[in-house]
Amino acid sequence: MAMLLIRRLMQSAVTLLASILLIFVLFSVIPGSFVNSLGGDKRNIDAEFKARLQTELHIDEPVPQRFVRYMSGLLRGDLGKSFAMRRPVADILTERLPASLRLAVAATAFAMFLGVPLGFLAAARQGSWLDAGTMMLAISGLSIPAFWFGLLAMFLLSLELRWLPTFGYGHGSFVNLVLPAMTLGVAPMALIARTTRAAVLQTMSADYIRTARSKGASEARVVTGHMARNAFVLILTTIGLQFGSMLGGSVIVENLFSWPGIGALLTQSVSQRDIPLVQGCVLLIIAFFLTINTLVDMAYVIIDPRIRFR
Amino acid sequence: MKNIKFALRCCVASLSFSAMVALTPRLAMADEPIKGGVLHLVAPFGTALTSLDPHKTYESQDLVVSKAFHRSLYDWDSSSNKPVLELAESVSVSPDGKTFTYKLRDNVFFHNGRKMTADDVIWSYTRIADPAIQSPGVTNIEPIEGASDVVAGKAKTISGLKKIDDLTFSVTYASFADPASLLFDGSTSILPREEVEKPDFATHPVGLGPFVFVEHVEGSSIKGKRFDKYFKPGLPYADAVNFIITDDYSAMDVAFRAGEVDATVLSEDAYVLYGADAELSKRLIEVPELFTRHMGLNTEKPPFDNVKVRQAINYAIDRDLVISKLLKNKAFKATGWLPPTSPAFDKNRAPYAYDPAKAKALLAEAGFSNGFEMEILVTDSTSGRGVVEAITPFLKAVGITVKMTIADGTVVAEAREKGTAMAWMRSAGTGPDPVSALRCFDSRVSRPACNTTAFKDPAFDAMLDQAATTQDEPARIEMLRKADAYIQDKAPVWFHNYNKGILAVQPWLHGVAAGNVTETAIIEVDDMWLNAEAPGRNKE
Repeated sequence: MAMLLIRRLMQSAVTLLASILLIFVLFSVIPGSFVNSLGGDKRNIDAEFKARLQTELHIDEPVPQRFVRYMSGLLRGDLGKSFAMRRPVADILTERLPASLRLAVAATAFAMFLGVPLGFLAAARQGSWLDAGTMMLAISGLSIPAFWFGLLAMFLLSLELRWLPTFGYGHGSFVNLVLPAMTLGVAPMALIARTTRAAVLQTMSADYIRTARSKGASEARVVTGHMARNAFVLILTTIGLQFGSMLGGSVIVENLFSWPGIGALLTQSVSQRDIPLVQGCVLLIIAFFLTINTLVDMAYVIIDPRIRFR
Repeated sequence: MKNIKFALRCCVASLSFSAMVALTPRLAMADEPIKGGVLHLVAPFGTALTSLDPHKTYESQDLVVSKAFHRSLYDWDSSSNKPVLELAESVSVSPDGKTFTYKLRDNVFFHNGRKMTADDVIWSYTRIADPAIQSPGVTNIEPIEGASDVVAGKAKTISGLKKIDDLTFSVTYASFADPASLLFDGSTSILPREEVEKPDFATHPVGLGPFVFVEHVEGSSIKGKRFDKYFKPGLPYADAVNFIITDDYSAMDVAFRAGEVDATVLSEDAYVLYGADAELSKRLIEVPELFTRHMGLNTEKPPFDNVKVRQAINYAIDRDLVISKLLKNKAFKATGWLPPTSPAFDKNRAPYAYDPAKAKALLAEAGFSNGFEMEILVTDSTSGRGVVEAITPFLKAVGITVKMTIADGTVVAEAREKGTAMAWMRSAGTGPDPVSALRCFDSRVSRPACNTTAFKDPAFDAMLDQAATTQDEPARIEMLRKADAYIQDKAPVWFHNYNKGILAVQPWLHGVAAGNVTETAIIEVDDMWLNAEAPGRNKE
């Protein structure tokens, strides 16, 4: 177990380092810079002011020099200072992370609590209208773009029924969380439902299930004790991957619902070419994904000890 | 450049909901303003605020909300269409026209309870000039005598700023300047030193505005509560203000229809829908923006170094059709560089007519009877990509083949400023000061500073210089109109339109001021009030 963890952490470190390098190089070669974003499409910023800013922010330094500066800061735990906000990137990320985590957890919970039972039901009633309906729902959930689903949900639940606020954080209150969580969670829900159905169907036909039944085990015991546990490895992988990617996948949803998370911050920082902030956001998203993946790997071993020996 | 200030101001103004304040009497009705309630407004220009320190922000989005918390020496007055004194009760000018002596109001307090003095004004302006602050407002302060030494790091104080007593100070300019147009912008807000020097000022601002900062949820909302010691008696009317920070027009539309916000801005499509609705159409406010949408032509690159080619482009396109069909009439056609809200706008001037035959003739005279290919750099938006798609057939009809390149705003700006772009679509701030707006065609102004087309014409420079130094207002305006007509004739751009800002207002939101509506009038949340039916009277 410890070896597995160490191996995973080392792999993650390499991935993280490669990502840092890639982001840095990409943002160094793409056209457009922070000082030009200040002019935007409508304004003119004084040329001397721009030149001064460029020097003070080290934007005009050669890429290798900037990379060394960035990496030496990173090794000291310093993510740098946002060009636009003039505040430490770490502080900004710390402020934004709770909202993103809250949304990611709520969306995952929505996806899991709806997707897993739906998948089980569809598998249990394979070939029935329930199976067909569930899978149709799953395909729709995967196909509808998040912004479109969000708008439809807004229209129905906020405008027509007046049950929920259209947008805003509201200190993360439940009513403010429902719409964005549903919107972010609908595609993972569909995927989880499909995965669960496939996993359960595969397990249902396994020898050990037939054995359990022939031994006279109750259906509840068969489902919970044998079927669910074995199917759960695949389901857990899907849930873990979906949860891990939610921080980065919430960009559109956070913008639509004025949700103050990392996704919305990333959009803004990219359009402003606020490179330290972009790097901070991407680094956090990748680190989050890698952490969740590692945890999922650890969970496999607990759920199915056979994996340890493979 | 004054342009920064003006464009910022315009942007804020154009779509800020405070615009309702200065709007139609029919909205204000006959009722007496009622105190109380929470204003629910939208800051509609971005997904986040960049800084709550008004000296450190470049963003229009920040300035929308900044007016709730901060005040500058001057403010824009919609009824007179010019900046007026805000924090001072009087100003006197020296005989040489370079020194302005201000008597500050005696009842202006910061949110921390301390009275504002001349020291605060001088300290604030010195801070803006401090290179360590990197303030975009520095261009508004730099004309003050000695300010450039501070900007260059050669001095710590601005020699042109003198305290006379606690409530009196003077500003001396190095050369002729108009302090009103320089010192009304949010980036020149007066701030309390003791609060600014606290480490959390950027997140907990303290100012002179009608609302005291309460809370900022980054990327989502910002709230303020009424400041009881606000220097305007009886104001603000509302107990609190809550701005939702978003740039998603669809979400704003749903929230407005659901009654969650008191006002919203509309996109082209929403404008059509609201206009067709019997109820919603009653409360639409159309504001001509202080922006000129155009296609910039690089006058240093052939064939745009030839004035006939540039004029041909202006004759070749049916701008009326583009405005009506593509922009759903959410624009006024451009007749020159200066927009209708500019004091030097010439309402009698005709735009370029749609005359393809004349365009062909001009191209032939310029030696391009077989046409040519031009690359247009655009952003992926209705006013960028959409317009280029719409004008391509018109240009093709006269022999010009368009190659469109889509890029993001930063890339377009960079290519424009480096002079590598051949042509580009843009919306430029063109008000309220016509001299600053027209300086964008001054030979001595660089591309990054404003003259993106690299237009060079000594005759035009002379016209502008003469207007800038003329103190007789009617004569000055007349000169500026001529200068604008000159630019229209020389056509360094394709003159497209002046955007029409559309505000939809709830029936329960009222303002106080009536009269002329200029977009720079706005931003005053202190005058807004909610009637008894407003949802904002019963919720936070």
